[in-house]
Amino acid sequence: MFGFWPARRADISPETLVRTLRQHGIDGALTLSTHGIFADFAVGNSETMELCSKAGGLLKPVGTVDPRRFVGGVEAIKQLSGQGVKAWRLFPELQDWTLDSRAAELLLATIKEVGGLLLIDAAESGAPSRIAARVTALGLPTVLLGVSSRLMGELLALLDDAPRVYLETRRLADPEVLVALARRFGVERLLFGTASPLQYVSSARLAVETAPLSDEQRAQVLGGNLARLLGEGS
Amino acid sequence: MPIVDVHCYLGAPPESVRQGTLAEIQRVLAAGKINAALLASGRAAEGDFRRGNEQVQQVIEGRANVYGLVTVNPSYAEESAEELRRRLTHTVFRGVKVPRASAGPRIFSEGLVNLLNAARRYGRPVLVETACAADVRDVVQLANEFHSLKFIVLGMGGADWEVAVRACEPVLNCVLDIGSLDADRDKVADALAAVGARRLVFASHYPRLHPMYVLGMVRDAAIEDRDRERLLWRNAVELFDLELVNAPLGAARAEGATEG
Repeated sequence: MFGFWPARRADISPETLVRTLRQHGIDGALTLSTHGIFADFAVGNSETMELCSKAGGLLKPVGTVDPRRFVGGVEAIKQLSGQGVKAWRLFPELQDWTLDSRAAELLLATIKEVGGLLLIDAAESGAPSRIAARVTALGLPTVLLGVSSRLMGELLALLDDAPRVYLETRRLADPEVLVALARRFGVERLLFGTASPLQYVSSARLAVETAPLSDEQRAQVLGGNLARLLGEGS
Repeated sequence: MPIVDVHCYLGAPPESVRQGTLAEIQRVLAAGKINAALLASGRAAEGDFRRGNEQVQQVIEGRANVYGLVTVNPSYAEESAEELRRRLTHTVFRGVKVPRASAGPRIFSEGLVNLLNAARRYGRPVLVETACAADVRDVVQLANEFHSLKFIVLGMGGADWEVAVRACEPVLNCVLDIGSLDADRDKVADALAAVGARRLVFASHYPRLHPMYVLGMVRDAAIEDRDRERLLWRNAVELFDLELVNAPLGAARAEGATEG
């Protein structure tokens, strides 16, 4: 993400984002402007598109819409999809709404309609189950962000019945957790994420780097799986 | 550079893919190049603290570079005081652990105050798990009341780490542990700038967390070597009066093992 972070003093300027990714040898990242979270999704989406267009392929845009406003959300998804946006991040955890809202339901259905990939926070106990139930009914491919090994039982119970639900590895923390999930559900369900530059990259990265996976599997987690979901890889 | 882990668990929580055995701890910590560790009982954190402490003692007795933390439960103040007497007169135990799960609705409680009164005679650091700003404020209140004890703020208040940093800055007997699932960039550097390198320690909280996750924060923090040294081992050695020896963590303690 880039922009301004109100919850704490943090430098998440576009320059810092790009510098951090390069310092860590990261070749590509999904990103979006925080203006789209905290102020106006239309303006935020414009900022995202502009930065990504200047980043020489390093950054790929993530669109966002806000069910609290709703007006213009369906149109924004369709319009940006036409401009190549494939991933959509919604922020119930920061915007104080729930998936039960009819506005959210319609926006999710539109993301499904345009063939998008949903990214959504699922850090709290119960969130993975609620989200999986909703997106599975829609057939919407979804990446659960912020899941940790504390949710292991919940994840084990739901992933068999939610074949299009994927997990971000950032807070899984333990290499053995990654391996256990990969063995049980397939390594294609795991996607590397960092929340950079808000969070440390190495905390997220070391678990993937040191997990006893084959080089091919590691490459899948570190980018191949995401590329496939975005229709950019095999 | 040596690394000392000031808090990991013997035993794993129900959701863990790990077992939390000593052999597993040895293997995982060795992979992180960690030379010594202080172990608290995972069972004692949420259940029977006396059985948990006993298990820790049995497992680590006679082993090198591995020490114990006595877990207490403020709801069982008398029994906990007895545990302090029994364990802290034993050289393998070097600190007192207050788990958040069994501390009650608030960390500051009459039971814990009574316990800390009992703990004063042993002079060992008190490690208190904190998950939010309110927890940290309670630890600060306790630290102000018990000047002679060192308090280690485990988890640094979780997502409220900025509050922890500010609240602990003027309280010289509060030491911050950087280890938690909250890997916000700037966390280590901000804590260092506020409380100084002498009041930071490294804890992996393994197997509830993982050493690589916490060491990743240190790696990205871009701090000076002398501060890194303080954070990763020197403070721990001084706080817990540890004798690091040239032997793998958890190896049977040899008569002739030399201090490292």
